[in-house]
Amino acid sequence: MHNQTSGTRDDDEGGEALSERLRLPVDGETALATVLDEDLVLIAGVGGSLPHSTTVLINGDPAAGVEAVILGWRRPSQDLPSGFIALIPYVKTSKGRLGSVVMRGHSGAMRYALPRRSASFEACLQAVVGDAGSGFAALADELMEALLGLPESARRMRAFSILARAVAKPDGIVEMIGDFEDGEIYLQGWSAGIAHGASRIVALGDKPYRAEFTTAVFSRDDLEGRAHGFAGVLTSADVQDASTLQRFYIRAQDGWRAIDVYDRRLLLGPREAPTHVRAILPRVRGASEVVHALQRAGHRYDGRETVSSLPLPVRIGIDMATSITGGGLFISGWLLDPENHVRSITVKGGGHAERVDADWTRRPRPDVTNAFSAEPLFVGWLLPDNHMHGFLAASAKQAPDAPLHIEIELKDRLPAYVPLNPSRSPARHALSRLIGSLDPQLTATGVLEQQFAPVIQSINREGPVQGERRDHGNFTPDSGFALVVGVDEGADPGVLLALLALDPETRKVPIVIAAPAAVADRVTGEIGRLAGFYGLDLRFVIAEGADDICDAFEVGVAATNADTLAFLSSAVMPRDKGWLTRLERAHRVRAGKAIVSPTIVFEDESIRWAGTWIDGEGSERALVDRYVGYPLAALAGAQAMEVTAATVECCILPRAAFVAAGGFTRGYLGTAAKSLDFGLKLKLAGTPSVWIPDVQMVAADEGSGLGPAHWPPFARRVDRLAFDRRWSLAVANMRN
Amino acid sequence: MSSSDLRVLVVSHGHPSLSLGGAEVASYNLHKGLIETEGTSSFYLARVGSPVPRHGATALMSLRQKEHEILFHADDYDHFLLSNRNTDEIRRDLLRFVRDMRPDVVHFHHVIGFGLEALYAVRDALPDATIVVTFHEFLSICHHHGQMVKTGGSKLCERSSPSDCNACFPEISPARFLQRERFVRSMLDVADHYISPSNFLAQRYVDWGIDASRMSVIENGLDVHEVAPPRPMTGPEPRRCRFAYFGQMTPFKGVDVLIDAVSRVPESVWGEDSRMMIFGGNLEKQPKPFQEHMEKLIERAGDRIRFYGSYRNTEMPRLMRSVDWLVIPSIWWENSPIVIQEAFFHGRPLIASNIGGMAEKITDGVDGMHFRVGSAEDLMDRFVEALSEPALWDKLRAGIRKPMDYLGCAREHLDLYRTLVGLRNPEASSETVPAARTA
Repeated sequence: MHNQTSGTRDDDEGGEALSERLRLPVDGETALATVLDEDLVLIAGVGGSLPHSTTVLINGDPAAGVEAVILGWRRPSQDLPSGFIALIPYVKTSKGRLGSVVMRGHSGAMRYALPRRSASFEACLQAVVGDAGSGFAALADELMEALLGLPESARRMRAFSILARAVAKPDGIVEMIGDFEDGEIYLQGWSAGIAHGASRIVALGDKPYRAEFTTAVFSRDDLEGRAHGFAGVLTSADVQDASTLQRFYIRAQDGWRAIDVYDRRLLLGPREAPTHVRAILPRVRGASEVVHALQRAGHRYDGRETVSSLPLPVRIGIDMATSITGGGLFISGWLLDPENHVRSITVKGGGHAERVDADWTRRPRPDVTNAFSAEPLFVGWLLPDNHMHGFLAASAKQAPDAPLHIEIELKDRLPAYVPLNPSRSPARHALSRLIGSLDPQLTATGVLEQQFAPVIQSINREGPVQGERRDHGNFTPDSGFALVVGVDEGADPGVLLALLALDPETRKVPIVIAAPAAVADRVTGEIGRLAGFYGLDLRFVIAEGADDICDAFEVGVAATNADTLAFLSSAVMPRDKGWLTRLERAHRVRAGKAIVSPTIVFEDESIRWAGTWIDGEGSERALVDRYVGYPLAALAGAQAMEVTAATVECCILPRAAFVAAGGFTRGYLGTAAKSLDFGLKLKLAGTPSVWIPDVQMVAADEGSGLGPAHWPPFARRVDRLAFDRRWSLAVANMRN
Repeated sequence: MSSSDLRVLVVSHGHPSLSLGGAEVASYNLHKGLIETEGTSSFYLARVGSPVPRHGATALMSLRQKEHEILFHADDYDHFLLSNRNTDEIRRDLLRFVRDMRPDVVHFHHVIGFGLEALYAVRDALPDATIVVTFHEFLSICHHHGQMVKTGGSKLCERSSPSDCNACFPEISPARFLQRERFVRSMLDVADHYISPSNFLAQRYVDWGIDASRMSVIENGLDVHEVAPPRPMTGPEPRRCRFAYFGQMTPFKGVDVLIDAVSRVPESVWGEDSRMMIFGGNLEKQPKPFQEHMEKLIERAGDRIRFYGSYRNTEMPRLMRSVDWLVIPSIWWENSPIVIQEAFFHGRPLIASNIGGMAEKITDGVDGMHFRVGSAEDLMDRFVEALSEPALWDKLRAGIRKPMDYLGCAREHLDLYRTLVGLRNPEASSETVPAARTA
């Protein structure tokens, strides 16, 4: 027997396999074998009679016994009266390839040698047909049932469909297909053999798959009593593309039937299908659970909002819904349900389904109480002091591009729906807008951070990419060194360019300015003008998909081939001339292998960044910006020293270290956490971080001006949680 | 003009024929003094803007000004950063002009309109030239019209910082003010030297971060020739009882304090003969609340106040004939208001607020009197003293020292230029820069 790889190859080479003309060995000592998939081998041969299931010893090894399903046919031979097909769960043995099997029959053990080469399934079947003759139909029926009884795999389903194609009788067609997006497909057509009820079927789409078909039947005058209509719901474990459905096989009383899909079938989208189901419902007959399944299908979301017409005191409002670039969904709104009719709230669409009410945060909405207190359905139900109708939901699962809706599952009736039209936005923008709409007191409770941090942490969107690029002056990407300026949203790089031009040492350095696309319109022309006026050698590149300066840095790095890079946030300005040369010197002294950062002070000359260290012991061990907030005088006499992490707001580092670290981790709201994260990645990779106290830069807070006043502290807390989830264990065990 | 003359380019944000502000007059007087001083040549470059029409192809124009005068049209100005966004015309026209002229000294009296970029461009085009900047107010330090007075009131500002400035302009972030500070200070650093007409202003700039060793104080030069004689006194009980205010009627100038004080003077002291004469206008251009406030004060003051409207500088000697005292009630620091020198030139004592340039230029009890800034009560007391003490006017008049004229001012500048050129380019200074002489 082949190993798995060769078996796979044989099976995939269908054309060659079909051309095989094998005969079933009738010596009672050898058998044909075909690898159905990596876990299942089919063996066919002749011999004494066998039970329906028996122990098979692989290669005769008593320690390698498996239970096989046996199917048989009678033969006109006294010595070898039975043919058999054995479905053997394949167990890898230490004794190499599958060369033989020993099976326990009614009249003792039977040993079969197996050929070195696996036969194709089709060739094996042909060989069996040759021996079983008219008994093959019953044998095939049993084999199909046996395959359906085993765990599903693509190749088993393929084997099933080969068998079905050979034995199933054509019986009617599918005329209408409705796609319900989430694994359910509505099928309507006619057939003579299909009865109402739930059946196990195999459907042929892109590939064969197993499904449950719950169908009702109905009379059709056009069929004149020879057949009847059917309307049912196909349910499968995985979401299937309804448009590819070509046929399905269903077992009728007298065997398998093949129902082909009419080549001019009507394909209904999720929004149209429920209407058609509702139209057919009055005509169908079937058991109550069958009819109920169709009722549910007919009641599925069809694009309409149905909550406001509920005769129950249940209402919902969506204030904001944002699909986060790279993953996650934020929804804020309110739900009024004073009688507790709602069982769950789920966001659905495009095959996506995620319950959002299990861990959402409620918040007071007295405006909702006031608005509904006089509504007849709610009169007497709304307590004047209970305003907790608002909610904030965060889902870490990435929502699809398809239209979404909210499904409200109710306790004693069919669900109700609300369309959901989330805007698409990077996390930072979405969350800052959301937080801006909230009472600062709510954001200070710490509850929201716990809810949002996992969403932020899970963001794994694609990195930014280079957009439009413009070179000014004599910029060359191939110099050994480049100053990469990352522009934040809201920042005005003009002043920084002037300051770089006013310092003779930075005036002639190749400069790459990378700016998010959102600010490109505003700054592109201005940067060109200033580069020309100040005589700077500058490349301006738009960072498509960039969210912050870290993203901008990544695009900036890609826009130069320099081996040594200086990063400078557009919010950070030099205090004195000569800063870059002094940093470069410090970098060179360390063999060009370190990341080197200066001191950064606030506008009031207090310290903004002066090294990040690991501090504390045990669970208290954490990263600390030691001097932050102190007057600059606190650094008097400080010497250059190694720290745990440098700051990317202003640093010099080797390109190789940046590339090896994989750039910046997404999944943070602010650059401070990204910078720390990056610093730790460098540390783990062995790149030392160095702080140069006497080189000083200056930057004020709120560089981006994004969001309300309570946004920055909130974002920091979320980032702290996201950072801790990633790094707390590593930091606890990290040496300074 | 000899080829060995020290070539000076005086740059002003406005030409006095178009805009009669103190800085325009001071810069023009300097240019005039330099022209009349042997061994130097001077060119006067003034910025002009809308509504003066410009030529399409160039920002430079003459507008039929005198020889050695040229105008530069600039309108695309960022008042926050003191920045000229039209850098193309700076490069094309301004630099063409300065390269053609090849001045030894470029003396900026203001950067309004030209923008700080002009400093950078000139330095870049003329690396050997000496660049001097004269400050006329605190515009580099203070976004509030360069007055260093807090917004929303008349509280004086002692020191600027990004966070203090953000308190005055909450809509502008400290980060943006930090950018402003870094940009302005770094651009000013391009200059070799700075001049202030008052010690007070000079000290403010030094406190702000300007290198004290690169700062000089030179008073503006006055270009007035005819001294107005003392007002002839008539009537049975003649008194020095005519007070005058020369200036714009803006809140910063404290004209409301002045009128309030006038109306508080007891009738028995003010009498029938006293007058408060106001020469100046533009009240209608002030914020509405200020106009309304003024209307009430003026109504209360009645006929003690006489309004004579705007005046031209050349009218000053004639107007001064009918005046005994000048009042400067400014609630901002002032620098070196030219009206102080003019008053001294004509021998008129001043009553002024006790702060900043006013307190520096006027010595209380010697050539004038101080009152507590913004205090109508205290100013009233000074009026009472002036009207009640017959000998006071003569005593203070005797204490007045004649102010420097424009030629003296030019000489002081020339001395400084020579020193700076020598420092910048020692060889050139010994060979090409002659010793200055007055004409």
